[in-house]
Amino acid sequence: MFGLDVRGDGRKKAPWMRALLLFLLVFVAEPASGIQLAVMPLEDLSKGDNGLNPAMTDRLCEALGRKGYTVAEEKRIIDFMAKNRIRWVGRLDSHHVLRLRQELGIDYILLGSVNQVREKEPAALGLSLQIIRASDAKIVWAGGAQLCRADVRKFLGLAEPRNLTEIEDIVVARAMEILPHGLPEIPEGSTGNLAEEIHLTPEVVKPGETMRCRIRFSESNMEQPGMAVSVVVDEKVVEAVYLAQEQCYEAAWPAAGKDGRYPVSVSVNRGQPDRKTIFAGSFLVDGRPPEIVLSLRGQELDGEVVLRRQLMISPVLKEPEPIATWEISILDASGQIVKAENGRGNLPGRFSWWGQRQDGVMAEDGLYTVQVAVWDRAGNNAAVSENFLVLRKRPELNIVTEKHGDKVQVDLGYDGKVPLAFWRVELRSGSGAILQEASGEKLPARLMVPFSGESDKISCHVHGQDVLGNKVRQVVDNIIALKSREDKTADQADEKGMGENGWSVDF
Amino acid sequence: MTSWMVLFLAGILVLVLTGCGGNKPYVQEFSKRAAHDPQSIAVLPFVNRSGYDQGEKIVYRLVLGELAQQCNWRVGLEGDVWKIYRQMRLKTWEVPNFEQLRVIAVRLGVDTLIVGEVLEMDEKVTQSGVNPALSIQVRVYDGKSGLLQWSSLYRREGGDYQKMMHFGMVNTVSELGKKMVREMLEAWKEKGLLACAGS
Repeated sequence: MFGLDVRGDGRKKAPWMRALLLFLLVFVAEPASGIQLAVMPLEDLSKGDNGLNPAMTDRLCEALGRKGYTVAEEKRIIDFMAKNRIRWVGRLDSHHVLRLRQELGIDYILLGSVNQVREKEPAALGLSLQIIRASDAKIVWAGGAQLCRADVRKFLGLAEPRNLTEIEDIVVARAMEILPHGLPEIPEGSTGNLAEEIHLTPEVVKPGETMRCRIRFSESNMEQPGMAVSVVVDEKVVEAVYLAQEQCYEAAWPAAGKDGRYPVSVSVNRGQPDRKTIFAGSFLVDGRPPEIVLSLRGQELDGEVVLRRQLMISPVLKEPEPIATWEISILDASGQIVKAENGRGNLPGRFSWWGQRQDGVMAEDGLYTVQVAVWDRAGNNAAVSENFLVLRKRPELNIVTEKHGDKVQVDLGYDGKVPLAFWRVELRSGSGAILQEASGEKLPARLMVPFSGESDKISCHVHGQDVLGNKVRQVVDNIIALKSREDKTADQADEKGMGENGWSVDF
Repeated sequence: MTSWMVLFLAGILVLVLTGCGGNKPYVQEFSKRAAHDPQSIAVLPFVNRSGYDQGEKIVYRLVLGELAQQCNWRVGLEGDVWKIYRQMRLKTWEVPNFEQLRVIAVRLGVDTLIVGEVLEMDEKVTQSGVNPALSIQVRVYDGKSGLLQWSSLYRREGGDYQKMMHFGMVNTVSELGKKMVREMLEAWKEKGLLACAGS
């Protein structure tokens, strides 16, 4: 029950008067105004993560005022929230609750949320409320009220709520009905948590590196004379020192040399009978770098992986463990990075490279290296690399013609690195009729086709594909106009001579 | 003829029994109850797998409210739970491992932890009103050992509470959730799992 302030006037009252007063006290009197109740702005879950419902908060405050509660001024609450950077009103922590008591003299806090608002027919509203005792941050009461228009069916629709506003009124009235008339009395001692914050950092460490444990107590448990705080790790006790500036205790120690998980406990000693030990967590000592293997999947040529369209890169940890950061780079034959990417967290299961450099240009044919480096949570590093070839150039066939009387000899040759899978050649007349065709897997090949004179036109269509899938498609409109082998040899000799003895001009 | 009659009656009996079976929360016990009687409890953030916006918070608040109403234990503040999640860099949509559960319990000063998932939450508007549906899974862990003690799976629809005409019909997920959580806590009490008296 609320502590009611009943002032006696010193005069003796008649027994019937006393009985009447007692009746009024028990059955009629509302909570006394001496107890301060803070109504935090109602969270509105229908408006997303940071939704508030000021209208419902105001209705609730008014209803509480009518019920006789002394509600703390809204401005004071808002100022307190701004000062303490409270962003989510639905989640006040004990620290803020105790501060509300210390700074604003609040006895009880009403926290609530509008769980559901449906404006469409049938309109509905759901409300959850809880009352927290500020002295020990304990939930002393919780309840809720909800109503849907479909819940209320009355004869001829009389006195049915017509809209959401009327539903809000009914929900607030129902909440007031279930609200307790008397709240539990405030206990004397605080029963809050022993430690408000314990930070054990880092979570994973290399052998010999420094581990730290910071312990912050709530204000009621702050530094007291004669209080000793220590940390117990692997049966060794490490004394914690008080950092006045940061208002916390800190213990630091070198991590053990042996890999493994080490539990940590915090021991607080306020004198022999008052000694408490709490489990603070554990940390992992990891001195072993991760072992990583790389597998490349593309096309294969003479046992080497080749990228023609796409290269699949799959790095796998031999013994799976969480990875802190990773980096993948593709280097060309001169060791220059042509593409790189990095990230935090575990390695993606697979990377695929389509042969594009960092600037978006397709990488040229040649030898490349893929390198994957990883760092585990303790900072141990491992790297692995594999070579592969980029071969995407279209194979080109050599077509050489030679006239022998009334026939033209067509020689097809190929001197590319990647073997051909197949080829097919068609020699067509000017009208498009196929004069001769041939196909095969190996080159060189020779074809003879008759022609009637220099005015005749014979076109050559070559199709094919190398073993990697690169396609050949060459068309020579008129092979009769092509230079013969002798002419080609003479031209090449002339070009060579010019290169050695004459000037070359850049256009 | 008599055997047909017996078969018919047996069928009716099976239908009645299976129909009744679905109206109670399914409770499965996993580990032995802790030797000590729990005195305090904390509800960890619920995981929402239903797609209903803020469904996890709605159910969380209902569970917290019902626990505070039905048990005279100390119920951890939602703000304290979130603070520890932030400090331990835990994701609210993931269930902590057993060691993290132990740390949370110690730091909150509670001996029992509740972890839950909202599997289905929906409100279907029909001609006669709204038919909400809710399916939740709640797991209870011992804070000292971090071990799972018991778990409950429960699914109900608003129409399940209909008595006659529109009477008893539940039209909001909030009301449905409140009823379901209350029934779940009652089922735990009946089985002797939740030894708490009304506050």
